[in-house]
Amino acid sequence: MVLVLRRRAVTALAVVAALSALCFALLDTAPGDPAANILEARSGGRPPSAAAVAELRHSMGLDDPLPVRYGRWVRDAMHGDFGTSYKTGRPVSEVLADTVPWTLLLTGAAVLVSVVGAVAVGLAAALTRRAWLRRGIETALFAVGGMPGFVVALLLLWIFSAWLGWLPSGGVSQPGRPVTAGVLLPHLVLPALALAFGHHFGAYARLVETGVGRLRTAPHVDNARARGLPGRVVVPRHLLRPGLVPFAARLGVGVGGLVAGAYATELIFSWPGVGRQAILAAQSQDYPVLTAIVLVTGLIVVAANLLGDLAVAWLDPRVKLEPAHAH
Amino acid sequence: MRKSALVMGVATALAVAGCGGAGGSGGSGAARSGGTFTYAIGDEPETLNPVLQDEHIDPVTEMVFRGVTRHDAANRVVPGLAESWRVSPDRRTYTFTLRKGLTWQDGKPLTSADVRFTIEEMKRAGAEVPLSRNFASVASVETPDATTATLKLSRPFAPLLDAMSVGLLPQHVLQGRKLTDADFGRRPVGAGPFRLTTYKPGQYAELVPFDGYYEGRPKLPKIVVKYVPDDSARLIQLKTGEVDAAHVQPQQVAQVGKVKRVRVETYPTADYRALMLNFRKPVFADRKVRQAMNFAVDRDAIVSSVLKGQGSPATGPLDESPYKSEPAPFSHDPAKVEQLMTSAGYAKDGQGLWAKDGKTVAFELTTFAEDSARVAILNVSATQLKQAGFDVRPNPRPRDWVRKHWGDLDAFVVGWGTPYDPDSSVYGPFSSSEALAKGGSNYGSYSNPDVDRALARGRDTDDPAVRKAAYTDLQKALAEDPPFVWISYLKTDNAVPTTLKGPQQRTLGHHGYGFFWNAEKWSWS
Repeated sequence: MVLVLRRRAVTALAVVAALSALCFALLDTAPGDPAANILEARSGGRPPSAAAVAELRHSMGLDDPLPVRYGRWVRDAMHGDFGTSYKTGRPVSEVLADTVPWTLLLTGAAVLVSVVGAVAVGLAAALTRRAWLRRGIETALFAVGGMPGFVVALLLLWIFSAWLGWLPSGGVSQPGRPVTAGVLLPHLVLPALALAFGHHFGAYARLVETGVGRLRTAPHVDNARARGLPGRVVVPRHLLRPGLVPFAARLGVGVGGLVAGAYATELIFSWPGVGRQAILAAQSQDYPVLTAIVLVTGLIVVAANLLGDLAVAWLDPRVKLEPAHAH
Repeated sequence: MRKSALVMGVATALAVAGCGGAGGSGGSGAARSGGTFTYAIGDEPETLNPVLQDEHIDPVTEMVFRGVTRHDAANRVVPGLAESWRVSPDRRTYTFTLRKGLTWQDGKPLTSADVRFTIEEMKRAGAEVPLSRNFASVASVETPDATTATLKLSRPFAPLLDAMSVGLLPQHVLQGRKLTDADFGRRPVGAGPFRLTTYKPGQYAELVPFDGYYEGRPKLPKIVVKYVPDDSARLIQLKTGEVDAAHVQPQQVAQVGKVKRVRVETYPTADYRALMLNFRKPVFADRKVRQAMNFAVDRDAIVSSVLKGQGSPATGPLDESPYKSEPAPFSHDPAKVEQLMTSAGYAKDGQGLWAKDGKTVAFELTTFAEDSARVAILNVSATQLKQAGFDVRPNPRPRDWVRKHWGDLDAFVVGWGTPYDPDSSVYGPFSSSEALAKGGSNYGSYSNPDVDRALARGRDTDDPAVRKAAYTDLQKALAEDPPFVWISYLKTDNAVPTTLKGPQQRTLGHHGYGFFWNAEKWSWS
């Protein structure tokens, strides 16, 4: 186990290193000039003079060659310094500290909703003998699966916030009030549901349904029932555990998509997370912020994949995480 | 057994739903008359420092800061932190007398040293602070006593009083720091009517009245500016009462009308859209062709379709300025197009396009592809011009491509105009000394000696009669030799509670910023 984690940590480091280099190279070739962008914002959108841009580029260190800039970034990053935002001048670490926890909370809640919801719905569809229920669930999943995330988000907003008025429509609390769990929870519900239902939820539920449904008539299940084991033992142990393997494997990968989906969801729900920062940073070519966010996102995806693998290994004892030679 | 599994599934589903229901305490309940005023806006500024925002500043910055001068409802310069000023006959010395007993929001005294500091630091920052261009003519700032600041100019600069409306910066806070200091940009200290108590980037800013404000303590007990980037989400928050007021898009105005307790405040802006023509292109050489194009666009149709009525037809750059003269005669008039084009020697070819010597009036019309409102204007106006016989190819291009090719563009949907001094609105785009090749902002390389003369006369004096005459001449010259095909001025819409008293209409600037210009006078009824 420790070995696995160590190996994964090395992988994660390699991923980060590769991502940072790739990010730097891509941003360098991307159209646009951060210095021009800053000056344009400060002069009400009027294009700045070439001399002013050149001066600012110099003071920002942007006219050094790419390898020099990358080297400088790596050196500073090793010391925990990810630079300062071009636009606001705030340290990037501060920006991340302000935003990453919110995104983790939102995606965490969405993963929870995905798991609980997909298992519940998938099981219901797999185990019911009522054709209308199964068909109803399938139709609903098909509809949800076909809707882009932001449509789901706006639908939820209209129904639960604008129409029924049950839930607040955005933010993490009422302005000026401390963010307590009691205030946060109702604010979390809609974005978490939107993120979960807007991203792969249909696929997840179908994976549970087929995974479990496939085993319904499997010999080991019949055997267990024949032995007179009660349903509360057979369903979790003989049906659910092996039946969830495809779903768990898919979920680990899907979290990456969920993090990406969080970007749009955060914008709609005024959620103060990293996604909103990323979009702003991309629009304004705030490279230090953008690079750091890409890395953090990369790390979250690596971590999610690891958790997915661990879950599969726990569900299916035949899966060995350790390479053969490690034994 | 199967039943129990089903029950288990349903139970988990209910648990998820229940966790939602348990916390379901919806909006904060509106109609908090007498309490906090909560306003939702989409744009969040990168900094709350007024000198880094140009003349058009966001609500929070506007309320926290105050300048030596300011603007009234008619956009005239009136006393701000200064109670009065004197201008020497040669207009090279401006002496400002500050009000007595001014303090900063942190309680420290505000003196003429702060005036000197603000101007000198902006000049020192140079290119990093584009607004410093307004103070290029200021040679020195003297402070003979704590309430007197004397500006010596190297050359007369008519818009100086206007420029002095920039939010004054506190020397004691910023001494030894750069103007771009990030901390100051998030925790600003000004002398404006409201004091910033909390700023959560990406969430909201909370302001309370500043007791030491020179006109007395503002009446609203608290203002919260919430950053809600999504247009639909802003409307929903307005409906649920999570916010009292919101900036709304033109197409949302009809829906906002259905929300109870809310009225829409529609303000004109000096922000116009026009088709900028590139005078390096021979196709635009004949002024009759440009006049004809100005008669070929149907401005009313664009206002009602693209802008959903939230705009007004534009015929020149100063239509929303106190210096507006007789408007140019441009209207949608196909007969006039016919007459002008025929007299210019053009005739309709087989495809119904105007042509002369086998050449049509062919050009590409572009704009920033990222700006959907401009793209819509581009498409509609290109269709109208095409129908009138001009060979237009509509082609929006990425912002970055445009930035690198200003000199090569044929025509571009441009956004320009400020409600303040006419010089800042017209000198940049129309003076031949500001031509693109000279590093200026006359991107169309427009050049007309009459226009240049009028611009110089307007800039070199602050005698209102002389300026009025100069800008009247300017508008006449621009109408005869049009640099742009004028389209429309934009309007800006804000939904506010019916119980809010005090918002007063004023012609606003870019982005419709400036709605909070007199927030110190607002109150609940």
